Amino acid sequence: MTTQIITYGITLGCVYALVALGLVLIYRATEIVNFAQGEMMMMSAYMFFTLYSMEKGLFTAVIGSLLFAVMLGVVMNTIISRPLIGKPIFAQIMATIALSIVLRSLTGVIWTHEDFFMYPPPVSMKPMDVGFLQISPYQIAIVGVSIILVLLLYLFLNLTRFGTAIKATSENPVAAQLMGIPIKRIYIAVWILSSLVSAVAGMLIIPQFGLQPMLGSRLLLMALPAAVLGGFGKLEGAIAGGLILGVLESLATVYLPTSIYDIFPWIILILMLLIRPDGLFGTPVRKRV
Amino acid sequence: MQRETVLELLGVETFYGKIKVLHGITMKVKQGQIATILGSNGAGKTTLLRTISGVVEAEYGQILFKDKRVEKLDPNKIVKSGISHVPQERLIFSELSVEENLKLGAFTQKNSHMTEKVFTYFPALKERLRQFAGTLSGGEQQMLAIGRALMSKPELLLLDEPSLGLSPMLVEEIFTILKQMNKDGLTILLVEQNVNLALDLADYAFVLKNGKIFMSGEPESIRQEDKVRESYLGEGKGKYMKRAKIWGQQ
Repeated sequence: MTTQIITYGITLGCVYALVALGLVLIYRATEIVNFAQGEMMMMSAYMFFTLYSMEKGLFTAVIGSLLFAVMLGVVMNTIISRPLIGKPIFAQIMATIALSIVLRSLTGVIWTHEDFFMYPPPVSMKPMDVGFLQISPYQIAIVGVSIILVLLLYLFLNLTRFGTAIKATSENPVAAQLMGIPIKRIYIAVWILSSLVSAVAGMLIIPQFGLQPMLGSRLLLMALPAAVLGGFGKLEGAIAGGLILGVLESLATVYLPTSIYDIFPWIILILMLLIRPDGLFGTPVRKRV
Repeated sequence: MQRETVLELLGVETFYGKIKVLHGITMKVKQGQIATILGSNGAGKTTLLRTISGVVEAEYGQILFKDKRVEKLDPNKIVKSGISHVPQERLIFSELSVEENLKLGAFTQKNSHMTEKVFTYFPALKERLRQFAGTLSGGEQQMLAIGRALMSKPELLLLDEPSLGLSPMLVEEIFTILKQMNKDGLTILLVEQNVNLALDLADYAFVLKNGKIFMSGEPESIRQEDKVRESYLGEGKGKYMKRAKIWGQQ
């Protein structure tokens, strides 16, 4: 029983980790905390669902959703990043929260506020016996896709010229400019990258959670503590934080009373901030002057 | 020897918010020169370099590099055109390896063959390629910062206080290397707090005061000026006020 709960938690954690990864990517490069990340994820997921239910085939649906995510990334860069980069943090937070509300309502207008479920799911959700585990192909797909995605992201950031330029811009935009790195283009790339990662998370979670306009904020409420848990600003931290919260949440669902488990991630977060305010992977913050 | 002008500034004014920092700078740097900018703290030396490299935008005036106007270009375009800037804080990417730092320096070059050349100037870097740049010593960080700036094959190198925080021996080493780079054809614009050292190295000097060019000329003539000797060289009649002046006597 417990192993099964943990397996479920890990699959859930993968999705949280991906959304958290999207948050951290943007934060590292632009120092903006994007409260509309959940809605970005959700809208791409709606796009996927729409194409899929029009029976265009899984591949077309995935590509369509990813293209939509690219567009969304560019739009977000234009309306959030360009006017707000380097501005007071309060203005940034208000703007992204406002945008998340607008996008949520917009989703409601376009796709209605009803719940959609994916029947049949593209991958079977029936558990099979794999060794001592009971695991469904759907769960394997989530974990597999997440691992591949993180691996690709890692290779991109560490082995390509453009990826290294993204890391450099995240560390110090002025120095990056002096190297001749076009940082405006880097910012657009980061928003696109983040939007893509979130879109994959969205597509992965639909069969489990279904679709409705509150999905975005629901996932952000898990991804945000996950990112903070990992030390907000560290990619490996976001992944670890996501997995830990996923597992803890699924354990809490079973072993704790219902009224508690919704606030459970936040209890973990508060404890973490009390014990180690810089998060699991964080280094003490030194403000750049 | 007739030298061509590489860099020319015409009435350049730069603001930080509403505060004017540079009050109409007009100056010329010639091909193959080592020019130095002297001046006390807050005179605008660093701002001047930042304005040339485009990290700070010039509000008024023109900056001509090889007879092309560059003052409205993005910093990356300016680097591509051949100006490289080593900032005062060095700003190496401490979370990246030495190798990655050098590669980023060559970001504007499709295929750079500068790495070997950088190693001939700074052989110490070769042994530290895989190390995180943050773990280097102060001197090595400065070498990395200069080496990284060379990777973009600049014709003009802007150097902001390379001696800052380094031991006299290291400073001497770095200045010898700078001299060698200059012999190899690089034009250098140097901001330096160590006035004696700067005047020894330079072919031409500008003295900046309150955001204006206060004086300029050959290093020897600058050295002769009483005002410079008093303010920056700690020589002459001393920097304290003459007591006789209190009562209006001369």
